[in-house]
Amino acid sequence: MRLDGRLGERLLQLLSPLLLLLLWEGATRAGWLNPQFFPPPSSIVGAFERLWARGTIQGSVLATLGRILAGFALGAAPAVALGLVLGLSRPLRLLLLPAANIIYAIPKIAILPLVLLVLGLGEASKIAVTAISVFFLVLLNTVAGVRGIDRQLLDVARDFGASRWQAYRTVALPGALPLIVAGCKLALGFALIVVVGTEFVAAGAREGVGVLIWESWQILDIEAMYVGLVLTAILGWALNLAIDEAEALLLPWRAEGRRIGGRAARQTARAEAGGGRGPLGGLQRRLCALRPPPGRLRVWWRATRPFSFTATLVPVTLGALLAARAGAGFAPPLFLMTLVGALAVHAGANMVNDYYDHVNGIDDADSLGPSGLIQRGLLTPRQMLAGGLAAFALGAALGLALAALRGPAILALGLVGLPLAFFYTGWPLRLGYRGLGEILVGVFMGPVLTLGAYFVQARAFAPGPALLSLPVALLVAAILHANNLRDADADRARGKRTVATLLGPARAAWEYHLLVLGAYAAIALLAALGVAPPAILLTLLSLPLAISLVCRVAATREPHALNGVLRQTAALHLRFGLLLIAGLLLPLLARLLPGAG
Amino acid sequence: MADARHTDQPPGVPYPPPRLPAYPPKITVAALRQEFRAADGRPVVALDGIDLAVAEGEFVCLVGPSGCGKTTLLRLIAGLERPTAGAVAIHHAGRDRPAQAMVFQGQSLFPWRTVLDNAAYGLDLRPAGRGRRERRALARERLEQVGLARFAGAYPHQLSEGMRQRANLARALAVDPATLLMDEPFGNLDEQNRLLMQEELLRIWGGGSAAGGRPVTVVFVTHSVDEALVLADRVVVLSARPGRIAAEIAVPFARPRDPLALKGDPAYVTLYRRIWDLLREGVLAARAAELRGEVA
Ligand SMILES: Nc1ncnc2c1ncn2[C@@H]1O[C@H](COP(=O)(O)OP(=O)(O)OP(=O)(O)O)[C@@H](O)[C@H]1O
Ligand SMILES: [Mg+2]
Repeated sequence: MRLDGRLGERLLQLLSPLLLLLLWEGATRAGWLNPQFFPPPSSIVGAFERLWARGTIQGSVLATLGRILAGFALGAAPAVALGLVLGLSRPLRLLLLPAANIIYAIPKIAILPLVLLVLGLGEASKIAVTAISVFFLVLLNTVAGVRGIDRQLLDVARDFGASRWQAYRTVALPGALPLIVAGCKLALGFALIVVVGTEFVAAGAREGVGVLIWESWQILDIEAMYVGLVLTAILGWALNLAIDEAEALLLPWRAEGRRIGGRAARQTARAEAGGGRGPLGGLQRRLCALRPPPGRLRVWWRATRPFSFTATLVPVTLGALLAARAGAGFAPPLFLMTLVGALAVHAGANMVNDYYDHVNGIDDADSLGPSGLIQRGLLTPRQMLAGGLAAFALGAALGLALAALRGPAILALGLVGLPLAFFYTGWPLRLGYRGLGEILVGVFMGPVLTLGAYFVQARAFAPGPALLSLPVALLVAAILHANNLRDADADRARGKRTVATLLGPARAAWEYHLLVLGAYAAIALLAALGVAPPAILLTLLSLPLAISLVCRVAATREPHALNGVLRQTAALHLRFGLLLIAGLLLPLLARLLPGAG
Repeated sequence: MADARHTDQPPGVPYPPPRLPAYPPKITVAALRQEFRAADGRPVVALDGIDLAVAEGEFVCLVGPSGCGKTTLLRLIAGLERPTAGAVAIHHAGRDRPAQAMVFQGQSLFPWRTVLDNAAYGLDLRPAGRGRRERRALARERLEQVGLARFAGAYPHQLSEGMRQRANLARALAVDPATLLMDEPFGNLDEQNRLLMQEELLRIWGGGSAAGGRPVTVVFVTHSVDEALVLADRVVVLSARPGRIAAEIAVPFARPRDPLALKGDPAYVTLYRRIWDLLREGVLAARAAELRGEVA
């Protein structure tokens, strides 16, 4: 099997920065680089901690971010409005666009002295220069966006009697939006450059990342200067991430396109036909990171529903990572055994679910099962059941091996976990169809897996991993709940009881809100109580997606729309998990480097 | 039902005189000429000397070789284009329904709206006191009529070309227009869907006095002579560029028409032959003109 797809790509992207850091560290330690100018990363981390304790970092970032956002808002809003007008009106365009093009060409930092003359050394001049540089970028992009709209779409608006204002709102704005967003992305990058630049020159301000860099340079505190540089990089990266988030929100039609591409129509039909109930069925397919081998193996691979594996991947990695943080070290072979074992049990539960849904007629002719393999005759029901049991057997074998190696506690976890995974939809208990799905999945794919993976590495239990797994558990329950929300009507008709059918639509939507927002509340609480380092607040970067999902669930009960919510909830779980892991990894990496702090 | 308006024409009379509509005229086109400027700056005459009257509740099909100005004529009728010379008018009183809605040729759905929101577009512009829910419900009904209800939540790029055309139709139907201007609306449909959609369209048109007793007038552009003969009260044949009316041919068959039975009717074969000959003449003439132009 070859590692590719999104996960592989992400890992690949991490490689070059990490390599650079290692090279750098090695080169200074070996004496090839003068540490006075190029202090090793480990000592920069030390400076970071020092500045954080003083509150310098927090203050600088807030000040710079505030200037960026203020300048951006003041520049972008009028630019979009004017750009729409110019895009649609040829005379106005001919009149004004040449001037805009000329001013656009001037490096904005070059007009800073002029602005300083007019507005003085204070905040106003910094924000004004930023706003000006943002304005022209967004303006030109908006005009290009409007001009790129298919003329026929404007004719459609006219034919249906759109007023001028309606033509702007219903055609020009949404049609130009892709380029507007692209312009905003560029503009935010420029805003960062300009703000840091103005903070150098007009250091009238007390705080700011630019101020930090400039002042550290003046007193030759090189490490602090590097902290400023790193902060700038992080700010740029975070802004980019935020606008990517906004893009997904604003351009859902494009996001969908990327996700399901050419197979879209057929897949839409399949999704509508009920593509996915069961533990994590119907999860988005894009997370399928391992390319399946062709032929018979491929069918089996699909039967395991690999796209849902991230639900297991996140807690297992989290547990192992927490053990490493606790000083227990990290043994890759043990980690691999844990991961494969847990995935085997997960795959087993998926296949057993396919089998029982089929024999119990939950998935009948007009509703393809989660994988649909039985219904399409690619696997017989018996084969599916046998496959599930084989997967369980593999999971059990690995569990036994781990128990022998690391201690009987693993045995206990397995003895509880395996039957639950089977009877999740297995006859006769069918716990998932008695309103227990969310709790079961939440507990299993939250605390149980995290603690298990922790124990394998550390040979002990601890409260930390259990607590940190809670937000992950809430989100995994939210995935399942989103699935049940979508299928509520069908499930009711088939006598399958889930929390969604039991609560009724309005309260079921509330449960979703509680699960998703609860995860963030938990993170905030854990950070505030000092259970984990503040870096776990990195997970807040996924908050925009969470909020948009909550809004969508509040707004709709349509299965089709909820299908999107389901996929996006799974994406949220993964993103949240990765951010959490990244947040825990950062300080750890710093500490792993010898001689840090 | 609509036959009272048409007199049978004996085969062999090639150019019947234009009929006087029995109903009040809905659309009048007089001495219409339309020129465009080609890329090299030379004027292109798209339409020339078009005189046409369409009665209220009539179903007219426009056929003609590609590039002869069918789309241009529809756009002129819709008021999306201003004529170089001559006059076009839709006679429409009353503000309870729009005078016309166009089913555009080719890609004309808004990529950023779902199928349902596309279908509701006209309603959203003119809510006429209807709330959002009501507008969506109406649009959904139209989607059901064209067999797209299951794809209400999909985006246009997720549909096939034929499905997009049906969504296009649903959008025009949703506003309940007095006149439907349809530009090859079924061009990309498979044979079965095409027949179903023709039936559905005829049902909506309702022989000129549609559901609710309000007449719907249809001007329908097609490349298919079969389709024209199944649908139309009258077929208007345009000559190759510059588009002129080569003939107006009344289609006398009783409604409801059964497309399969029609094809066995000798009168059908005669009409088909006549229209086909006119089209071929037009194409050949245009090609000859083009050749001469190139040599010169
Ligand atoms: N905006 C325009 N600018 C220049 N020429 C145009 C324009 N619109 C149409 N034409 C020309 O007018 C002629 C008629 O075009 P039109 O689109 O009406 O043809 P049509 O009969 O609808 O063809 P088809 O059956 O292929 O759709 C063509 O030669 C075309 O090149
Ligand atoms: Mg045309």
